[in-house]
Amino acid sequence: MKNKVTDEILKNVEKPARYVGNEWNMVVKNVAKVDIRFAFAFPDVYEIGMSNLGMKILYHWINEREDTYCERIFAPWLDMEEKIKENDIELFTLETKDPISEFDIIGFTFQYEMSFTNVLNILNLGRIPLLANDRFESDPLICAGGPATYNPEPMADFIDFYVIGEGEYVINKVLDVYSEAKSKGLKRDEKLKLLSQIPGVYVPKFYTVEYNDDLTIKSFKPISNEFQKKIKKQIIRDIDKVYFPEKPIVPYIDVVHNRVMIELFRGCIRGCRFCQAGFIYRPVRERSVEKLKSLAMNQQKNTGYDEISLLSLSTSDYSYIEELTEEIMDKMEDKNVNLSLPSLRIDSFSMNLMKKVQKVRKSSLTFAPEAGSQRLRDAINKGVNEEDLFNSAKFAFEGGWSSLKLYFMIGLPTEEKSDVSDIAKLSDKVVSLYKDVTRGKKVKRLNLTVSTSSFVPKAFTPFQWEKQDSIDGLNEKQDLLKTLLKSNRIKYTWHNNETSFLEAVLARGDRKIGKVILQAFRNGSRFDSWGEYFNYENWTNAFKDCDVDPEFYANRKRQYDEILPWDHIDIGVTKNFLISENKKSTENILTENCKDFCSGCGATVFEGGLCFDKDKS
Amino acid sequence: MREDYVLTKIRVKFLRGEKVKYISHLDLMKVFERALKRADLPIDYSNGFNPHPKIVFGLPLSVGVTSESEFVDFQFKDKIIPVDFIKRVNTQLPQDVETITAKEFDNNKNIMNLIERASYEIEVSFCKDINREEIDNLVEEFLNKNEIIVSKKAKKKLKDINIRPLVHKFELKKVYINNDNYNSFGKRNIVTFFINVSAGTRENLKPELFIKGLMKILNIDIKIINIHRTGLYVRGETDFVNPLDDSVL
Repeated sequence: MKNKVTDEILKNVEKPARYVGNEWNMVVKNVAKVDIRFAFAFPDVYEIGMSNLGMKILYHWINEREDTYCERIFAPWLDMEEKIKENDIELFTLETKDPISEFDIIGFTFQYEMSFTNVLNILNLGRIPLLANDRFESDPLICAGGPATYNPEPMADFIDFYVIGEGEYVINKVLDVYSEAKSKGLKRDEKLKLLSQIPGVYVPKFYTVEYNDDLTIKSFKPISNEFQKKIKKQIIRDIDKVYFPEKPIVPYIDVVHNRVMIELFRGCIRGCRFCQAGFIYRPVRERSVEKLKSLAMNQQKNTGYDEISLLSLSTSDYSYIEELTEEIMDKMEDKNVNLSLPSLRIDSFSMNLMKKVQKVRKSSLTFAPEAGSQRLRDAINKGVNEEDLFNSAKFAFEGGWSSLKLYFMIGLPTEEKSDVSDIAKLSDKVVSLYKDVTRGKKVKRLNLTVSTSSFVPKAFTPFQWEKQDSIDGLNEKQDLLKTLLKSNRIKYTWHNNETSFLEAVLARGDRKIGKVILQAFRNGSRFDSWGEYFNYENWTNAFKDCDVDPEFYANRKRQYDEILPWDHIDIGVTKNFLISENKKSTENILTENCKDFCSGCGATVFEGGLCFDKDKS
Repeated sequence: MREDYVLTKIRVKFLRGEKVKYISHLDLMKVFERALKRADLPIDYSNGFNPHPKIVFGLPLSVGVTSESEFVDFQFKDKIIPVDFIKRVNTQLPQDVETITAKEFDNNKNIMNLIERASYEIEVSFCKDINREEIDNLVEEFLNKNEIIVSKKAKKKLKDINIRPLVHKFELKKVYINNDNYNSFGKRNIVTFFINVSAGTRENLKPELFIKGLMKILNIDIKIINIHRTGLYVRGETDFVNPLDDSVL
């Protein structure tokens, strides 16, 4: 059945181009000539999804296979959801507009926990049963991957199988196995059994959990010996050889990141103790300058973008960043193509780099000291001191920048009231610094944005055992900053603590959280990461209805020997290393970065990347 | 330095079809900018802190509207042959955006300031039974009036304007009355009008506002199904002409 997405519908929704597809470089295939129809689902609105590099990589990579057509699904905005229901349409992909229920596999990417209700909404609008156990033979297999699947348990009730780790390699194994199973006419459960044998694939229904009286986990094990005890995350060992798209889709409408995106390296050498990405993406693996240069050139040529962005978790840590930026700028200057370097560290090296790159346009600069005091910055292993910050700010101000954003977290483990007030002190010092640097010069007035987010402990970080600060506690800290940040040069912005609380529940939840998510969705929740649509009451009611205490997940300190809901996932980094990092944080002891010294986190088991290269030399 | 450049100015006629009708004017400008980059065509840039490509469009096209006759001026920093340009850029333009003709010109009058007239075909549906004669009467009634006041949103404020002097031609093109099919309005009476109206930077009448004026006379709801632009015109020596007419280049 072909969907009727009529002009009448499209003319009555905001940004209709979100739903029509046909963008430059969109992949077109004859559906009659493929064996597998795969739909890649991004559980947020088009403009967010189309800014995601991971989605672009996998979309084009899967489409390299002749036997598979990979199409795209996004969460329809609320006005479109209404039209879909009114007109009795099934949710469709952008490529063929076919109902998503007709696909073989729907692959969700979980980028953040607050998109979970959108996952359910997509399934619901596609008329696919929400619970994995309720699905029929004819329903697509629902899979998920991405950073928010490293703790797969909260969404385990809805997902047929997870793919843990980097997708490029394992997705082909999944599709090979599926293709064979389909051609043999195997049943849904038989397909899942075969898939569950692939390293990195986790099928929740083949595992069972028992709980203690205190609600902690008593045991977590496979229902039979044929299933993997631990699911090991999959990585690409040689990142230089792996596929990277050279003809990515170019959206018609303005999306959040609408530019050439080149990934410099995976992982991060720093190991900030709050940062999940810093641990789950280990080991650090860099691409070569030659490869990056040719990717940048080819992508630019095939897209016509006027900006190239060099992406990573910490761009100035790329070993050959100067060489690379110079070569790209050299090639791009007469084409009027700009280079941008997000995620720069606060140090003089980065500042010089930025000065070279940003010759004319003085856009706003963001520094992330993360914490107000040196003690707390050491406790979280940030490895940045006040001198770095002031030197960098001074450099920027002297270079003509007048707009600066400082990014901090509140509610970090070991935080005291004085650490919070130090955020204000540090900000005031930056204001004075601007006055000193620009004294006697005709300059714009300083525009300093101080932004705090509220700390959410995440799985696979040294803080995974820590309790999150209470909503009241976080509110008090924000109020304190509101009174302390008095300068009219400073604008203070903060996060909604109810959202952060909920994120903490979902990030470290176990299987019991699934029914809460379902209930919150039924209560009307979706687009929870969009402040204007976040409805806390939907969630508090859901917790009550399901008799689940959210504070058990958010505000409880765990013991090191407690079985954590994600313990069956193996990211390479050992629990012992995380424990030692957790202990070091209480003593404010720094850990060296991976380039200077190997601290033995365990990621060497992957025999790839920086740690492995070093061992060899 | 700029003296090194051979500048070429090219005026281009292009069409925008169904598949790209849902993008905004700004997005369409981006489509061309990127197509030029992909085609490696040496577009000229303005000087200053924030250089922008020297591309000027005739008249913005609203979201949802198709057109067979749009115009855009490009300035290149090299010698570019118009026919080569068409060939090169068309391979890099998405489906349903296509350049048709291009001519070199050498004056400083940019297309945006030249456009004074636009013509449209508007397909509408009436929410009650209506016959051919009634529609003919409606057109006549409209044309016989000296004043048709419609309120228009301008900078967040509503402003009353008289649209009658902005309408230069108004004709009935096609009537389709189908008593079997029902839409949300009731009987499906589809009528296509042709209009020629003032357009451009000085006075501009959007087809949507024209329909609003029509509704005011009839006092019933008219639903717009499709709007298609058939032409843009500039002032020639005696009459309004196509912007690619030799007399204006």
